[in-house]
Amino acid sequence: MLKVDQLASGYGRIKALHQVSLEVKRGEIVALVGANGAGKTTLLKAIAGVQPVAQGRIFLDAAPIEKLLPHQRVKLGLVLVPEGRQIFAPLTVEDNLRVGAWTRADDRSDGDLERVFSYFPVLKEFRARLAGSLSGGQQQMLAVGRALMSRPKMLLLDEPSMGLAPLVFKQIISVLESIRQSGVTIFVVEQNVNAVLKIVDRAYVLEMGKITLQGTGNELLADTRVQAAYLGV
Amino acid sequence: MTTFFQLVVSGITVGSIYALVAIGFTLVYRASGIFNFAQGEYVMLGGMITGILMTTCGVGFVPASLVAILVTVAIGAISYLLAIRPARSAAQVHLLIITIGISVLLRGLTSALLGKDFVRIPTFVSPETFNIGGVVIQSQALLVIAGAMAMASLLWLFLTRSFVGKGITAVSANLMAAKLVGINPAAIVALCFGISACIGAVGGLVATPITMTSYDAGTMLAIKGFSAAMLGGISSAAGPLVGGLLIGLFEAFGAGYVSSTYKDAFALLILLGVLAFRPQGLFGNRSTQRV
Ligand SMILES: Nc1ncnc2c1ncn2[C@@H]1O[C@H](COP(=O)(O)OP(=O)(O)O)[C@@H](O)[C@H]1O
Ligand SMILES: [Mg+2]
Repeated sequence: MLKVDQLASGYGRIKALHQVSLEVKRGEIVALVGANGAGKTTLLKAIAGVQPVAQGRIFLDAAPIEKLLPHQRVKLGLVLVPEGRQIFAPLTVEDNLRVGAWTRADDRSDGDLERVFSYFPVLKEFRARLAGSLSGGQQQMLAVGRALMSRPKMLLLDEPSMGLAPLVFKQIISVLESIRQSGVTIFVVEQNVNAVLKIVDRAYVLEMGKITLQGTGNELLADTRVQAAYLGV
Repeated sequence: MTTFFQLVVSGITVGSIYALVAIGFTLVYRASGIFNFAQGEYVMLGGMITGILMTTCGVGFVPASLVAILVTVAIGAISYLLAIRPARSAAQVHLLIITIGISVLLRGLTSALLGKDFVRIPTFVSPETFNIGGVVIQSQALLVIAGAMAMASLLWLFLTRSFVGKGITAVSANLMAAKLVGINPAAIVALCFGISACIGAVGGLVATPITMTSYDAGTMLAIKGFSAAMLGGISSAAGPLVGGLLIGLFEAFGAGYVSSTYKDAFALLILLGVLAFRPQGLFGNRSTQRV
């Protein structure tokens, strides 16, 4: 479904990604783990089109997309839930969600709204509040919900657990599993390596802008290098 | 006392026009981070095109003003797409200079195509003036004020109630997130340039029966409108409206009680004062910034 081939990117002279290649197949849930500053956010932003690419190619369903603008990638069903939530603070919760359905504003988004509310009932309760007034966990739910409103085929998530209470994190993980069950392919960046490796099909390890390891969730959980670097074993 | 009220009326009248320019400034700035100094030319174009069509071509007021608004809106949106958008990765000051270039170009084109003479639009309300306790009020002035308030309210309704308006708010609040939900920021910013041109053109065509206009009228309007936007605060909805009215009043009182020679200097004085002592403006909040 998603194929990244020899991708390089950076910030001015700083190179953040070196020849990164990876693949996520249709229906899979795949994780990307790595230390702070490894380049995970840069990679997801490059895939979504909000970070310039120096070299390499990105394919969605075998079609090259690296030249497309971000909103064109959303239209193709590729949606990123960015690091740090990035909700629209001056809009209400409901308006954040409705704007999430921007690319298909021609048809009514009520059904999708109800689906998001069923995943995150608290958003329904607070639908008329300004998004900026929500707690961190609620904002994260809103960011995930907003992304779902566009009916993505492929969802990219950048550290959905950042700064969240364990209970909220569990809720988000279980929503990810339902989303996957509904046929959405998922590529997720996570700091909570132990928890995420348990639920994913496969994972990649990114270190200093390079993929250094890959395997199924269980393989990586059992890998001594992963245990030493990320699991504190 | 009569003088006082007379000055209040004329201050609010010109202030309404400054407010419309200021609203255009803030709308475009919030969506794009650009101060569009061609803003004053939109007012000039609204008045010039309507006036020329009516006086030299004998077109009626309604069709003439519709043509003027459409042409100005097209100029606003196209100048963004052709001249500003391609340079979007340049520094803000370069974009500002491009907008000044566009304003010079529009002035030049207008003087070449429509001439350098003053243009008027016949007053379209009667009676022309009426008298309340010695204060003479032009009916057209009331129309200017009502027109400005109507434009400001319509814009506010559009921004807060319509789906596209919420998209504009989304782009202003968080550009990256707006791209990530599938909004094309270029389309939104072009729309904002078009709306600000529309607001300016309407201001021009209601004000020209009182003020007359000429190809170079936009420069001062841009300065006054910019001062009004800074005074009221870029980040609030009421800011540019109140800022415009205050600048208009300040100017009217300055001209009435101090000296009309320095009329145009008063807005600049306020601008310098605001920038020095309250850069976020009266209604602005210090922490507001573009992301
Ligand atoms: N806006 C930026 N400007 C300059 N360097 C950046 C910027 N964002 C990230 N970097 C650098 O790029 C590298 C990768 O960062 P990032 O992709 O955010 O890593 P991660 O998400 O894995 O923590 C880091 O060395 C970081 O310092
Ligand atoms: Mg990151």
